[in-house]
Amino acid sequence: MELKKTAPLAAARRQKGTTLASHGQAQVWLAGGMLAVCVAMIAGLIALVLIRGMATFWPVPVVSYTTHDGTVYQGEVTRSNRYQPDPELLEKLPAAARQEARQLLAANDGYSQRYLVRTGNFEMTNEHFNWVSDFMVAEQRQPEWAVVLERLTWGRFYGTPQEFMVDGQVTADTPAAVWAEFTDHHEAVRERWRQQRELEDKEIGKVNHALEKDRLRLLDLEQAAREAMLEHGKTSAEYEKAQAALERGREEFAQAKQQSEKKYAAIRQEIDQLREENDRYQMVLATADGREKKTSLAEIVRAYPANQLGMLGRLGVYFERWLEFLTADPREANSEGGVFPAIFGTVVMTLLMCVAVVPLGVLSALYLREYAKAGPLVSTIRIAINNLAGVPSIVYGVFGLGFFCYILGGTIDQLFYSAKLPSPTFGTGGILWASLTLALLTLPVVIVATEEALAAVPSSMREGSYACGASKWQTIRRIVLPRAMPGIMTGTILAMARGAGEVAPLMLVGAVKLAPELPVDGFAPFVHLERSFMHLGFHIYDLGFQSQNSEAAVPMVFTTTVVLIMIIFLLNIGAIVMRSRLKKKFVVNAL
Amino acid sequence: MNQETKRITGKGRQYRTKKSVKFADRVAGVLISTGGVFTILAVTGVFVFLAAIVVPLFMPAQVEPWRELPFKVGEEEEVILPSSENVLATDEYLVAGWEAEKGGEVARSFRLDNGQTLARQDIFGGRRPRVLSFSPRDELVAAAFGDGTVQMAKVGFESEFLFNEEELPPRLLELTGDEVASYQGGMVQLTPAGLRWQKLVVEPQTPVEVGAEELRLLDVSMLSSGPVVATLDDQRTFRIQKFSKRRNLLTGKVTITPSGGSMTIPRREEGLPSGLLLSGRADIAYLTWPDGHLLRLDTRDINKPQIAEELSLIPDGEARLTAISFLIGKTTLVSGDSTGRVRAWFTTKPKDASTVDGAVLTMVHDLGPGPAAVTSFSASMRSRLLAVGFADGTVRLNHITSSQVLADIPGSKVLGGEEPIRALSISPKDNAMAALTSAGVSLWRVDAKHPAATLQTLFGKVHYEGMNEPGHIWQSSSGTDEFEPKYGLVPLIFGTLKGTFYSMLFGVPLALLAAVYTSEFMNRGLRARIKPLVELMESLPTVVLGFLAALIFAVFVEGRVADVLACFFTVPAAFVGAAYLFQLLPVELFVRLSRWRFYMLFFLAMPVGVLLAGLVGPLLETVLFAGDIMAWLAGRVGSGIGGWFLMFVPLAALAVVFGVTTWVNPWLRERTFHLNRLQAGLLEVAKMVVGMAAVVLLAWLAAWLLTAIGFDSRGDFPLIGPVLGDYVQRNALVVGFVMGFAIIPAVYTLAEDALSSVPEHLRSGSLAAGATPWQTATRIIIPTAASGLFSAVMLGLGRAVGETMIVLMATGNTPVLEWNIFNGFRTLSANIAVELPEAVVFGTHFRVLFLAALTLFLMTFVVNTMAEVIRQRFRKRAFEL
Repeated sequence: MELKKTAPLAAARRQKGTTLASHGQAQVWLAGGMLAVCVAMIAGLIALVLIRGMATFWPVPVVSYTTHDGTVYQGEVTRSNRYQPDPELLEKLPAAARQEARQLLAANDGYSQRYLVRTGNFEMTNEHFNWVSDFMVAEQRQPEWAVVLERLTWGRFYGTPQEFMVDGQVTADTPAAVWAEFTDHHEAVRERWRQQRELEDKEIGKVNHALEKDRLRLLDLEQAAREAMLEHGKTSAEYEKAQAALERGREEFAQAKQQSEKKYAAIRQEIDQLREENDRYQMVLATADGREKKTSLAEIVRAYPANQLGMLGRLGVYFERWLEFLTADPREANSEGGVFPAIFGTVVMTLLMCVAVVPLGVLSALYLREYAKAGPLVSTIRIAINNLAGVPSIVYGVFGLGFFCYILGGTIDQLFYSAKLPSPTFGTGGILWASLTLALLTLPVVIVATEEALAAVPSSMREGSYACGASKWQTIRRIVLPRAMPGIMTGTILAMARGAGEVAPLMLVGAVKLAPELPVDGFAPFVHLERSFMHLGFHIYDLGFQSQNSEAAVPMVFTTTVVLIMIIFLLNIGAIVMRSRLKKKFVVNAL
Repeated sequence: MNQETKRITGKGRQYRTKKSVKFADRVAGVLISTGGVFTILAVTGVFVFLAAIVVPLFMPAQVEPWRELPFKVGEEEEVILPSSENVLATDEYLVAGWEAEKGGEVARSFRLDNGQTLARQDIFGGRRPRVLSFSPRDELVAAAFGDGTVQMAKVGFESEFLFNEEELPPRLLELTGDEVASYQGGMVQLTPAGLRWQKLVVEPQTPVEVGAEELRLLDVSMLSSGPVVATLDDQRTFRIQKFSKRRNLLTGKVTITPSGGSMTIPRREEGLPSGLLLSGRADIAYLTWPDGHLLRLDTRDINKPQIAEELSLIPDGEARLTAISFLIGKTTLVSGDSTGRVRAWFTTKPKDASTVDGAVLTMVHDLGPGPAAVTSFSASMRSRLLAVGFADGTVRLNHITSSQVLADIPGSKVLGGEEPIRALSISPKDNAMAALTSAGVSLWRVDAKHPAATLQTLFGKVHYEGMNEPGHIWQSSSGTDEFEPKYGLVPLIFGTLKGTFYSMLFGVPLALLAAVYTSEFMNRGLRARIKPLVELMESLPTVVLGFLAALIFAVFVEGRVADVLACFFTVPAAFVGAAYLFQLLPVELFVRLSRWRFYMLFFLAMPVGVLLAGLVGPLLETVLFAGDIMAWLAGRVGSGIGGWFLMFVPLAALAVVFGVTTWVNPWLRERTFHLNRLQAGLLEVAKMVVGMAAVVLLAWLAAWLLTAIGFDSRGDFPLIGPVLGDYVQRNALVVGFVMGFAIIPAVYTLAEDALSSVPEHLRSGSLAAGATPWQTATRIIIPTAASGLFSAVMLGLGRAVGETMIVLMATGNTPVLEWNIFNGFRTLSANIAVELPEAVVFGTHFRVLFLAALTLFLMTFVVNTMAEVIRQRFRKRAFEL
């Protein structure tokens, strides 16, 4: 007995001296360091996206580099980096410059600074960008009258104004005078251009829409005739009748076509007038290497003398570009212009998804929490629903494509749009199917959030309500749901945030690179659920990976990312704020 | 009794529940219950639907008897006698067929509904061929004649629409959609586009001289430059000739000139060969003898054919070769023998081949014995299906790549009953099969379903045509018709696991350690700010991460691989080093500054670590990777030590830490407890320095040892393959980093929840008993929360498995089977996203992609359910404590 007692005592004595090692400072710091790394990555990512995204539209000065061999690169410097130049590059320099370049390189440990210059003028040079290394440069300056043109086609243009022409007559021939003329006329020209676009989009769209309706009627008749032929043979009475109806339909269609052509011609004439008026104004610019280029004013979206802009002028250009980005259609294979259709598509799809997911989610949660008897079945269902939140989104996309597009959509097409077959109406990706797919994807989020909110309503309140003689439904409607509402809203917002950011399923069920028409417009039935749509997330994927002019596209990807992240973070922060309010409310209720 | 009591308000109180209230209650109850149940069912419907699309993949093929067209004798004015030539074909709409009569002199077309003859046409202008060769896919009949000429003729069905309705007999106009009628030697059918007339067209071409009279065997392959004809004459001379047409511009006369070479084949006791086959690209000719002997000729140089190899098609030698044919593409050879065994062969190129063209004819599939001798083959024109006819009338439909017998029709059910099958034909759309016996033609409706996808081809190694050995291959589409899609899911599953592994390797330690720190060592104010920040990151769209990974991060890493690798070592080292230095501070300052610990880590230690990486990186590259890591990875410079060293550093660090805690620390504790704080701190610093040196030494030693034994870290390891290898810009390192980053928020949040839900009294008790916070964390909190932490990790795993956008954008999407961290991969999810929009709806490819989705679904569902069950149990236990 005594021996046994002494052993732990001895051990205890030995351990009395606490060493520093037992505090595990190193391990704690390592763990803390990992958190620091996480936070740094998050902060770095947000900072990177914000800085690069916000910087995209900032007008930078136009720089003109003259290299030793006489080539002039004029444009905006987009980025620069250090690199080790190939010795062969040095050999190509003229002898006088070579020595200088060697010295420059030697001073920098063999590294050279090079600048990526956006030189634009694609139709003349076949290049948008050029690398310029510092040892190649003989002269660098910022030409006072270098003007940046953003054009409808061919990307940017950098040049110096030479002449301004009205009806082919030169009205100004010094840069300042040309610029004054340009600012005088440009707004009016743009206004006319906008009218012209409006006519092209809306008026011609109307005509086409009406004609399309007639064409569909004709297709229906054709199909009826075809069916009669296959079923009863070519000599049957049914076929004759259908054929006669088809003939009548053809005549009517021909008339309708004639009429719409008339209308079309009238609109065309109006458009031509506007265009003629616009074509009167032209500006001649000289590129850095002295070539002249005549540009119609209608082609120019925006122009500014980059090296003369003050802070205010720059801010003006900057915000104007942002405005265009948020409200205009994309141009130049999405690498210029705006992302309005993508924002619109994202918002409409998310709203449609909400319309589908909220009632279903709330119903299921009500059922699970208020109606179903608690037992192993209900807890299994609960686990299953929790898990569905973790099923990869692409799986939902596969389901959406197979079930909604091909089976449901295919059936709808066969029943109601058979005349248009084989070109599908609902039988392919579209905004309805996309939002239903995402509704399925976010359903678990809504169910779980609603259930939690329902569970947080104290049962004493329910019991009080029953004690007053209220029925179950009355209790739910007047006591439980109002208290749970903030929780349900939180869940809905979280679901929206998740839905707005998902891209993988949308790639399968209807997001496209460039949608010709918005899913909501002025033609009955106003909401076109079968149309494919543009989506910010898909836009990022497409622009970053399928774009031809990727150097110009990357800044736009960053800006699009900023917009998408803003939308999602705002939704999330809304949810967090609502959650904290909800908590406060319950504290009050408990009192 | 029921008097209403008057109230001051003048309103009577109702004691009975209103009907409307009751009604609303009932309606709501029914609505909510049905709605709720329906929604839940709909969600589970996802699984059911995916399964429903996948199941038909594994359904057996359907071959139903369709029609029997017996030959009639003396019934009509035309006496149809059985022909003896093995040529039979049907049209693509299944209304008419044709067979060769009189030894290939005449083509007889007949109706497929009642067998009546439509027309008899001379194929070669009334000449009777000596031998005949027919390729159904090119609709080409080639024949050699006694006068030493070879003539080809196009014999095939062509369709034409009849619009001259006034001139047509009325019976044609009365046709409906499901009727057919004969008209002027062809068949007429009503289609949505009008009356379609199918007619057999025979277009003989100009005969050409090959230079020998007694031709015995012949085969033709159509190349884009023209036909290539291989012949064998009675004098054992093999000729291969290309015929080029030249038109004289002045006279317009077409002259056909042969060019090519010839050779005499060796004499054999068996006599002359019985079969000659020329491959689709005319680069190999095969000669076979009835005893199974095969002579393979290399005809890549058409002017100089030479013998490539000789072997026997019947390795056991107890049977006679009775039939031989090509599959689609004329590359795979199928042989049938007198025991009914069918084998498929093609050339492979093993490294040790000694033949002139480096190839060896290899038996790849053996479909097993049959009931009687094989008499005829017919290969499908669009897939790897092969119909086999036997001497007892049995007909079998096989799929070669998957070595399956799809249908086996006994001879008693074939017209003529147990008569030998003389010719077979699989229709152009693979939807019907016809067999010719002496009694007539039997027809079957065929629905082969999805023979290319079986459990074996999806998950096992398959020997595809042109491959040297069986392998796991995913290659779903290609430009040519003859291409066989390869649906091996293993590379995709492997890619998914590889991506998951590397991202977990990076993300999980980071997330768990960060969670432990947040929950146990961080002050409340800071925690309240940092946790929502990390949670917010959970909602960041992964498309953003993918784009940053591919366009920014991958480019950055490619420029400074060594620095990035160094980061993985210097940053943790900086944290640890900072801790030891911090310990040297006097105790008061130490305590006072402890609340700024996170800021010190963030603003001092981490930047120092990163800067250090910038310094160590180039050093690392020079010492370990011979100054150029790209070249080192490609295996051009340096030895394997560098790679081993980096791999062993973490292991050595673990070993050293283990050694220090088990032996050194107890030993030191006895001797140093009298030291004051500064002395103890210095001792700790010394320990760290020695420990780090020991890590480096240990790792180097192990690396040197392995290299000395002869293992190169860039080599091909057994079981796992190469781990380090050629550098690809979009690789597993980048994806592991970014996808690890993507799963951190989820793992961190759940782990932190698990840790902070450990009851406070456990923490207090441990601290009160004298344990340090670190001891409390490692011995009380973490073991208690272990199952919660595990479920957090599982959830992260589920996320990583299903992630699509990051892997789609940041990996090269190449389906390779190797762990190489510097190479890309292709995951199930990215594969679905890329290929599903292009797959033919409800085709094999489409359904296999659904199977991929189902696999993903099940993988994540199992992982998540495990995590959820563990979490529930943990919650219960934590509640009980």
